[in-house]
Amino acid sequence: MPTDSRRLPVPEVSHSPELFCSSDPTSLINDDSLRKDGRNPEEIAGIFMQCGTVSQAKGSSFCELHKTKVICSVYGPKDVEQKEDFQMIGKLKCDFKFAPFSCHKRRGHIADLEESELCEVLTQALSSSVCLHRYPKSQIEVYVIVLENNGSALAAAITAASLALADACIEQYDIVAAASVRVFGKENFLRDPTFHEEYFPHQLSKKNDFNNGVVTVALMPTLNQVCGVLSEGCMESSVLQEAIQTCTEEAQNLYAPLRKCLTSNLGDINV
Amino acid sequence: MDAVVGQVCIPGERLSSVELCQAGPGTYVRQGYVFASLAGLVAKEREKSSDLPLVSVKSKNKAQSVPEIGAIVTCKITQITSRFAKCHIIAVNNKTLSMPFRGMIRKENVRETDRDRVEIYKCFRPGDIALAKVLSLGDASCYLLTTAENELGVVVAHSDEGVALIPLSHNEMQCPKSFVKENRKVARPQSEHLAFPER
Repeated sequence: MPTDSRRLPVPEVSHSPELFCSSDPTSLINDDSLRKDGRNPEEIAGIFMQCGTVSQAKGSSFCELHKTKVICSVYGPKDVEQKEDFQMIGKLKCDFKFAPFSCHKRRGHIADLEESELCEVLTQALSSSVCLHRYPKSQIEVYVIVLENNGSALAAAITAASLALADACIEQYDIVAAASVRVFGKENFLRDPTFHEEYFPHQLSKKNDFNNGVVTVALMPTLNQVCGVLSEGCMESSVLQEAIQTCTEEAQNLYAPLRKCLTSNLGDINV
Repeated sequence: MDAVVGQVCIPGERLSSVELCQAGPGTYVRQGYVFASLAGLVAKEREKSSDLPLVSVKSKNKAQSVPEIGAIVTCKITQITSRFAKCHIIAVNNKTLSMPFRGMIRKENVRETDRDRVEIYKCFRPGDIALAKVLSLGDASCYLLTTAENELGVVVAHSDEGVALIPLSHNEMQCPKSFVKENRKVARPQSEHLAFPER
């Protein structure tokens, strides 16, 4: 693109001002055993859910988990593309994307490796709940966009996707609720971690205790079945078990707000 | 335990046991109980054929059905060849679909009599709206449809000038403007839709 010679040239490379801030060495829990945002370690984040936000889509939902905002649209069941093989069960196509402006560091427009991995976990969790055998030769498309990432984006995405599928009147065995927990040390579990509390591989841990990581669990509350688990980091098996148990309990507690969101969305229907 | 009619339910809620009710659309059976699979209102219908009532979940109008074998579909013819006519399925059992599915009517499935000597050009033209029945799921590219019944066939067709054709018989339609007769495989109008002038 030819540039205007009368303009002052801008620097070709720009850096985020956060790079030049001194890194915060404070620990995750301070002396009053409170987290950075003032919550207790066991305190869950405030949640807001709403269905029917995207008018063009068959079904949609918006989910807010503390400051993390996720929007999901569902299209289908529609005809499979020409090149796909014949299948008696339907196909579920998920797309997970962080919006370029959502994270601290600007993300590209094309899905990178992290987004592909989270998309895989999302697909896994939803495939267990959607009655795909009732939609032969069709595909259902689920698009999830994270508008603001302040931690627990995957958990919010799975919950939002399940709500959107219910809003689109796609048959499911059960709605899926997801929750995540940050593990550091044997006894420290932080529920619904924020972005600064999420696990980064380069963080140092205490000398004797190498337990450090993040666990996300997707659960079907009524059937009490876990349909997806993602665990990042290094943990002993007993710590991992306890973390999964904590996430499962938290996901169970999400059932009541999920139900309220869906029933209030139904409004008045004529039978 | 039994679900109350008109009660709001979400996917995964237990509605009733198999001994009390039959599972209808919008529900599934697991371990001897009927669960809801859609978010909506519970409805119960008493079927004459069986003793047990049929429990189903009625959701907003959005619930879209996928073409099933034996369903009557409304389709729009998109292309014709000497052996088949390809179409877009736009509605299933009178419920419009948000995205059309692809269907195909083969030469031997157009009518019941004289199946081999059918000329597709004299039965369908691109742009016609026709009623058909789903024969089978077909292959990856399209559903297989049939119009081999009196009530199935072309319902709406336009002439070259763009005027709607008027059906004359089971294989003829006439343009009211130019009075040109065109050949189509016409669907027989059902008796409840016919209005006769009072004498």
